[in-house]
Amino acid sequence: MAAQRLTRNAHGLEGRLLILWSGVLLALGLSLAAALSGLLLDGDATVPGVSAAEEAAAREQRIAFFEGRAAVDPIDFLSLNNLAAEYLQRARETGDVADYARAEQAASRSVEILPVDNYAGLTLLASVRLVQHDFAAVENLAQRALPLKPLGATAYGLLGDAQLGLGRYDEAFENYDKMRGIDAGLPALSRLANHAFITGDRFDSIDLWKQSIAKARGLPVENQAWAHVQLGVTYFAYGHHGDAAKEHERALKLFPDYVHALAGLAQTQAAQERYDEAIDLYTRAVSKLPQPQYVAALGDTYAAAGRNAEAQQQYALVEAIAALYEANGVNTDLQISMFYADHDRNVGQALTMAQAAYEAGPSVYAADALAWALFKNDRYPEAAAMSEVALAQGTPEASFLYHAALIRLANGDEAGASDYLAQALDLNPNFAPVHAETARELLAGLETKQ
Amino acid sequence: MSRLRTIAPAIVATLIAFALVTVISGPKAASAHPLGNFSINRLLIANLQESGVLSVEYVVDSAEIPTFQRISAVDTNGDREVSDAEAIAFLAKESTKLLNNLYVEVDGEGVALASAGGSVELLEGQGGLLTMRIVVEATGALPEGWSDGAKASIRDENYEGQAGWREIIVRPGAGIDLFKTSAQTEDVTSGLTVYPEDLLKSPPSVSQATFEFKSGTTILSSPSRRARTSVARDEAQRSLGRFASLVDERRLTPAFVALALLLAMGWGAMHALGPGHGKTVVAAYLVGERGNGRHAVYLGLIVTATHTISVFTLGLIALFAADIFDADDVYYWLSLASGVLVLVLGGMLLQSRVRALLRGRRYVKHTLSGHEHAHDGHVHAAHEHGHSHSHDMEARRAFLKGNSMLVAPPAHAHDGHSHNADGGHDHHHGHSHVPTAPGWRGIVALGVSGGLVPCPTALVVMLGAIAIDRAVYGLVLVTAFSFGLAAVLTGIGLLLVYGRRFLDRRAAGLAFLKSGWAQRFIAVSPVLSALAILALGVMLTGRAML
Repeated sequence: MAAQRLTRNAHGLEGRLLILWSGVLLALGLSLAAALSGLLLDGDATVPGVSAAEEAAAREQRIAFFEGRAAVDPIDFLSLNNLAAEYLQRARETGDVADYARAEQAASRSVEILPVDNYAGLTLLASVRLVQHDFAAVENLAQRALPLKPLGATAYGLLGDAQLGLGRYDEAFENYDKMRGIDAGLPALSRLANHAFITGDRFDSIDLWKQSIAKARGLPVENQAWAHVQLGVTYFAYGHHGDAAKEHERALKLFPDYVHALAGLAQTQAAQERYDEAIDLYTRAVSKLPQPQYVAALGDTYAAAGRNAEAQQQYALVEAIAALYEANGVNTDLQISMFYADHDRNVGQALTMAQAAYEAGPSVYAADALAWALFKNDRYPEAAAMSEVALAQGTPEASFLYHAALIRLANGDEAGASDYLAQALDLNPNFAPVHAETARELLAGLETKQ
Repeated sequence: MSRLRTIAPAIVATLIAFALVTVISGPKAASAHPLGNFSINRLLIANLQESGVLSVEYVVDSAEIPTFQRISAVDTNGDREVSDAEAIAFLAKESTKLLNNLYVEVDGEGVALASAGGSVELLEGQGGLLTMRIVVEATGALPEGWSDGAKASIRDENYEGQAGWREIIVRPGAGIDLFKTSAQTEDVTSGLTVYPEDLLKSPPSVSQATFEFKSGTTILSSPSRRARTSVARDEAQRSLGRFASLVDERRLTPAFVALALLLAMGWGAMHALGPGHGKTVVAAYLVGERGNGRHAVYLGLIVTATHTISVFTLGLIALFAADIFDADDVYYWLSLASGVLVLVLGGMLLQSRVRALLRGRRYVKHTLSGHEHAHDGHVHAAHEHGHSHSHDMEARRAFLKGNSMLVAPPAHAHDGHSHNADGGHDHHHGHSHVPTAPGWRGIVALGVSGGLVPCPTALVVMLGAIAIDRAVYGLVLVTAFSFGLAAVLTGIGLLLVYGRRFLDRRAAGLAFLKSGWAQRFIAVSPVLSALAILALGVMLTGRAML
């Protein structure tokens, strides 16, 4: 019958439409499920293969979103917490120090709004203070955050960071270990790796950095690149310049023009006396982020290549940056102190800065800088005592040993000096362009004497 | 948020690198430049002139460090000042270099920019260092035919990757209409001499702009609207801040509590008027489902209850279960759940409404023809014109059989040659066969979704109250706040429900509604509103996952 045929047709039509709609809904559901499972599995929406540029664009969107929220609702501490985290990460990626000021503003406002149950706010503010090397404040904030979430990993990490900066290495290890017990991810492993490096545990530091790299997958690309750079730095310290270069190249592949990788690679090139390549790489790094340590290294590379006028230009730039630090009330900077002492400029200033830094955080790095500055100010016995502190942990820094050797020599201990020089060159034969050469000559001189 | 949980520690971890590599400390004092002493700030102002001339002002404001790095190019004699001779020599090279990296295209044609002057000055910066401000002026000719309308783009490739303020401003001169512009039209920095002080506002990073323009009457928009909205926003900010301060008032007199409750309600209402809070979803739902006043009220009550419970639960979690849950995490999951709820609701509605629409179409025919009951179970394809006559016939027969109550008036039945065009049907079919009232499940889902995500303000009040042992007072305030929030949602719902009824009554007489297209639109509108809800669900879910 015609009517029945029509009925069937109508059902056919409705059936098709229903299939279409259920298809649409299924697709929506599936994409949602995929996104959700991605979140659940990685804990992050970052899919491997997302480029640094894409991440940065997404970050800009999130920042704009949360800035809008924070502007509309002045006590929306959750948005402020998100903003602080995003600013901190953006600062790491762009080197834009103004983002640290923004992060500070966002995190401190969040803690002001909600001083009690604000674990994220407190730990983020602590992270900002860590960048500012205000270790006492970091310790205080982390202690405040800890009881709010005893099973939270972040506060343990920050507490350990404060103790690391304050030279309390055993306590730092305990907290890092607790952190690993809660969440054995990149944050905990990289801290333990750094601790192992400082305390001279060669096997552990390299192994832990490798584990960190494995765990960095799914995190922002910059974090992955950073872990590679740290492994590269560790390899370099032990004199494995080829392995170090490989890690920095991996980092650059992940995060193009990553300043720390450029500088790290430059260091390996300079160590192999490929000065032109090193100069090129340092110049790229410095033009993106004129960090005084890298500017000074560029100057040293120019000097090693015999291009003195250009070296002087870079040294002048370091001094300009130092002037800015002073204007901004930063007077604890180890890089500047080291630069002054290394280049026999403002050695008095170098001592003042190193003393302030050692007082604020008696780490092995501060101890080494202070020892070196004391030596440059002809205060040899004090320098010798301080260099013992710097070497106490067995940190594989050839420059520590080189400084110790020169201090021994100044104190008349030639045997001790040649022992340290041999150790330094054994650890890392070309640890620094000018100094490594000096060390070799001195050692040869001392040996012929003996 | 989960993102926070995973990224923050990673950042924190990575920060310790600074102990190893030792890092630059962020300047503690505020510096003049928004991006610190390393920034190179760029501003391009393009003025479109009626005469067909494009004049460009390009400003580069270098902070201390970049200035130091290239000062020798300007200040050749090293006296920390720019003499006329030095300025001329420097600008001759520099302006060409800068202009070569600016790309202006109008209707796909490159516009060459010719230097038309400029200036360079050194200014005192921090730490006894200098900063440098370069201004380059240039002009270009707009290609023929621009006055009938042209598409244009501007790209700035100077100092790529360098931190700093980057902005492009396009200003139409007298006699030029500017539209579809992605650029700003107002310079808030006075040519990069003053930077906004609000730290929690990232500087613009715009190196590309597109816009369209043609000759026309000038419409120079007054800045008053922007000013007004910002005043309103400031007011809103102040009130919200005061809400939080209600909680630590030292002495709680009954009068103060009563006032506090009223204020809390008011702020809740005000908060609901801000973006979000599912107002659109509520509207789309109630209108599409033909809800009544009762539905709107219940919806409001459910929102109040959910929001209060949600805030209180989150407060308790923060207090007692912080080990297991992070307040940020819970907040994240609640946002996600709220989004998913709307998504699911939208999906369900869409499915049932599409089905109803298809069924409804058939009913349109059958009711019209009086077929529905007389020939029970016969379902006919809706859009086969060929059948209209037989329908007609059947209708007449049915009518004659005395089924008049179920059948359209004879006039209609006779008139049945054009089903869709007949506006008179509106009353008794079309909608009558689409679900008549919202399902309670839908109302609950909507209410829960609207109240699930706690407003941070209410959360602060709750946590603050708990912290000073005034949990009950905090709960009461939050309830009042939620109630105010819900009142607005309900109010909007009621407004729409009654507004729609009013319109329906009036619309019966409107001629244009009788057109085929209007009828078709009315028939499809529930599906459209379901689609709108689905889309909002996708948006909310997406935003939550952000």
